[in-house]
Amino acid sequence: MPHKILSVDDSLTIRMLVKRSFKNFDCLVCEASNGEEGLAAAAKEKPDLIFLDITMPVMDGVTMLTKLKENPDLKGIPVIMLTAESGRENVAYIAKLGVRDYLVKPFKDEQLIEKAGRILKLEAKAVAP
Amino acid sequence: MNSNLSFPLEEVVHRVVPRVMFTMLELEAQPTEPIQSEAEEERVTAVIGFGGEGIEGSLYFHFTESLARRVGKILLEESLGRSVQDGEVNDAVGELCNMVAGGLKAALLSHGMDTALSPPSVIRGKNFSIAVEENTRVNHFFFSCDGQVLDLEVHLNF
Repeated sequence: MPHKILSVDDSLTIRMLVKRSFKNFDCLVCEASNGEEGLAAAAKEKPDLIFLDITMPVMDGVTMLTKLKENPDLKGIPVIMLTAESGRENVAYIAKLGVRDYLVKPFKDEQLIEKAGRILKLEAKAVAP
Repeated sequence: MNSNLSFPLEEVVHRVVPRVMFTMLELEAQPTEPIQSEAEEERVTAVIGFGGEGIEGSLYFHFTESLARRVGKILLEESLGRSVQDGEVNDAVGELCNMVAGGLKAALLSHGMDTALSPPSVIRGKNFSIAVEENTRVNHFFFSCDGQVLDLEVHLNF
């Protein structure tokens, strides 16, 4: 079974970069463009990991994270914040809500893989003979 | 607040812009002298506003259309599996501006100025300039990037 990774970001660019990062691994990357869609996707897909932006329209990442952690069915899903905002207060507040890790943009594909690899056992995709 | 008087804007911009361009795109962005573009090439400009106690301003990250398209191609084409469209290029440029703004926000915070950022907007066009209010300090930084001119305009009101 491939690992399911949910990328929640209002930027198509970031969602595509997450997809690109895991293209050589046995992972299925699904997307949502705001916190509201992210919660719905999390409930439907039950991902093994969520990459979550903070500043988004409709519902921001902090609100989505709070609601996720309030939901008994979803609260166990590990979340890595992926955001351009690195203020110490922000990080401390979000850490209290129960994120597994934090990655500040800009980032390289390898950093996403490294962070995900601490949570998931990533395996390279089998190459067709 | 006095901390704004000693805020090293040039140093921060010269650190943050090359880091964003190289980390995300592996493109070198070297600070350069001001350049007046002669060609009437379309520009793609991402705009982000920021504000907090005692400070407000905006960032305008100007790309030539050809550099913006190259950025979109590097960031998006492999995942999309097709050529990038203008709206997707806009998204890529807006996201790079967001990262630069995030770096500036962190630097302002380390000088005691906590700010909030707006989401990015993108303007496209030729020969446009940004109108400024009387009290606005305008700072313009130019970079040479991939044979093109990239420039960041920072407007500050303390």
